[in-house]
Amino acid sequence: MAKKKNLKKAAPVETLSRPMPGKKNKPVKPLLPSKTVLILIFTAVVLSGFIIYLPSLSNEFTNWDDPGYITENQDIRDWSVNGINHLFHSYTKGNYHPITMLSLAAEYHVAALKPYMYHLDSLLLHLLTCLSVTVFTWLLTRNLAITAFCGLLFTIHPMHVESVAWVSGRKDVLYALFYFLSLIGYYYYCTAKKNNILFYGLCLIMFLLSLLSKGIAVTLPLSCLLIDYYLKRPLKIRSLTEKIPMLILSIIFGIISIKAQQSSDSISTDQMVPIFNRIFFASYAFLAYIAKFILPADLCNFYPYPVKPNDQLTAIWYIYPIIIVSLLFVIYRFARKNKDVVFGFLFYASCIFLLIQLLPVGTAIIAERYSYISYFGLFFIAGSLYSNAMSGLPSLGKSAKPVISLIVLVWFIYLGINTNTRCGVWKDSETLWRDEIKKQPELSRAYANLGSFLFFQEKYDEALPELTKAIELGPPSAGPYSQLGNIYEKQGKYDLAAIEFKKALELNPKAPVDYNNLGFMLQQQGKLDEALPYFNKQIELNPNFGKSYTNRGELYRMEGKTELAFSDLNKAISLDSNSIRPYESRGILYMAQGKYDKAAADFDSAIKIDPKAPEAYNDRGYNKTISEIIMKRLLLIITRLLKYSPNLQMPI
Amino acid sequence: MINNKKYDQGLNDFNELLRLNPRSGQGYYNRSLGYFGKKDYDNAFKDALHAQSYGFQVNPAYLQQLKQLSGK
Repeated sequence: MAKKKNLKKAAPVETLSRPMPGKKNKPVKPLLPSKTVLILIFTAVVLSGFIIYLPSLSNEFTNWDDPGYITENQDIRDWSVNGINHLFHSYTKGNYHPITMLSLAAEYHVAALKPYMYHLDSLLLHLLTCLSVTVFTWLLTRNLAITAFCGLLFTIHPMHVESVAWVSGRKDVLYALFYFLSLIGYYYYCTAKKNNILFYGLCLIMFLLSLLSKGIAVTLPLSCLLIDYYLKRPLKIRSLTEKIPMLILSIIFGIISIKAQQSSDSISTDQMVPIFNRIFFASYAFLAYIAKFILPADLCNFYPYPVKPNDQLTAIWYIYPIIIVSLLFVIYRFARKNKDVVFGFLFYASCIFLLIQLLPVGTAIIAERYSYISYFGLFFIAGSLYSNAMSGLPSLGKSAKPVISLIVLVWFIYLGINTNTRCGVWKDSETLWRDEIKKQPELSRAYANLGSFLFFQEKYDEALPELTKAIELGPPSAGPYSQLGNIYEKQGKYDLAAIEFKKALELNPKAPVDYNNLGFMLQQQGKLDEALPYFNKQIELNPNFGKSYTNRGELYRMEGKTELAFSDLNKAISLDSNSIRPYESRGILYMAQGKYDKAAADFDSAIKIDPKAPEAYNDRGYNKTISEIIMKRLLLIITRLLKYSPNLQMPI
Repeated sequence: MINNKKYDQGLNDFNELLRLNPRSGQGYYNRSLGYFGKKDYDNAFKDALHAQSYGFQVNPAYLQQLKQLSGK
């Protein structure tokens, strides 16, 4: 599949190797006119992107952020003015990105929870972004090599897979698309002879959309400054004042982002990194992204800190800042006149510096999605170096050019194949976390997430060792304990389950679900008195959770507190009319009171909700039978027959 | 003449239950009650035995009564 792409790609390379436009020398006589080559690049971008990413279209959702964004997110299901309005007034998982949520809501409206639609949209957005990148690069440089490099690398680089093949990565493809459209607008604003103000407006609107897709777009004014530099616009007061509207937007959204992060717990509290250490971690990250750009091996979806964040750092860590200083020196010494290199490097640096954990967010040291826009700078440098090698290095000898081209070709093929393979890793939660475990065998959360997924697949025996491993590796976290409890519950080991839920609650006393689970386990063991306080606590923490009212209602029913039971079950039904248990339970209560018609109505509702629930048929059938038996006064005989067997499970 | 409509509705539900969960002792037991109501003692006895074989505790007195009524 990579073949097609390389055929296409070969075209611009060959063109360039002959006439070699450089940047300013007018080409002697190009093999192909630029327009044709550009069309070839566009075709190559779309074709290679589509072919390489094809496997992602059959991917599922994962259990990594997708539940919070899509599968369990109620906010995206309300496709009304109110619902959309709500998206613009709320945070999702510690982010304010309403346009991203709007795109997901639109997909939910069309395709509900079919993953195909979401993946297709992500891929189309990625391709549109790649095309915008290509257009932008061409406008800026008028250099086919750089344009081809930026367009194609943006399309096929494996570090971009996370943003495209992971539905929760939607924010990246979306904000990048608007980001580059805004830069295109800015370019025309700088160069157009008239209508500048229109282009400026376009730039601002696209910038706003980008910010509304992902807050990290705040770096755009810096990118505009770099365009000024690249276009050699004279630095006047005006070139600063014209950026003020952008800066205002940046500041507003910077503040919103910080507030949003604080609303969740993603600004890490469990591991505060000492400021001194942060410099070294940031240096490491800065270089790690560059290394992964050249050789994207061992990619994974979560990169934990290589050492404990507040440990004493070993000598090797001190090398990273030194490397960066040397790098800066080399660029200053040898390349400061090369505006391609300076532009590319500063573009990369300005986009990545907010993301290299100087401000620690989350517990990962690097993340592939952070490379999505910032890598543009590195692609730019690569293209420029290639272009220069083809034109300006006669000293390398005649054989050098084909060799360099061949190396580039092999590298492109390697990237394409790698990307194609990575799409398969994002297939579902199991492939994702098994891959992560292979690469980060000490990462507790990988086992925890895999175990959790296997649990939902009802593969309890497989899930058990993964969760145990997660607990063993630590740090202690409530999730795996709670999940273990769930497994024991399914296996009917209520006493073991209760122990796990208790541990989970010790670690996270604010988890309503675990109170509910623990209460339910105690109830199942007949410890009704012990169970009640847990149900109460759960209802106190989360008064809108139907299930806990059901459980408490059933508890009251078992204790014979009919009125309390009715009140809880009615509440449960009003909160969650799609759950059969409160109907079942209330039906049994009615039956016990001899209100067979009301009971029948509840059992009918239960069967309507879930026509495959055996217990609902049992109860409805029993209700009909027993009411008739009582009518016909057969009950006397039956009760006489049955009174010796108190163990018979008669709901009456 | 006995109006069997409600019993039949009940039996339908138990049939559905046993289709979904063929090993439900309680299902057989309850269906047995339905047959008992319809005075179909043969089937009531059969289902009571089934219920027992799937581990549901059936009162021996009930079984005894059915055995007599079904004439087996």
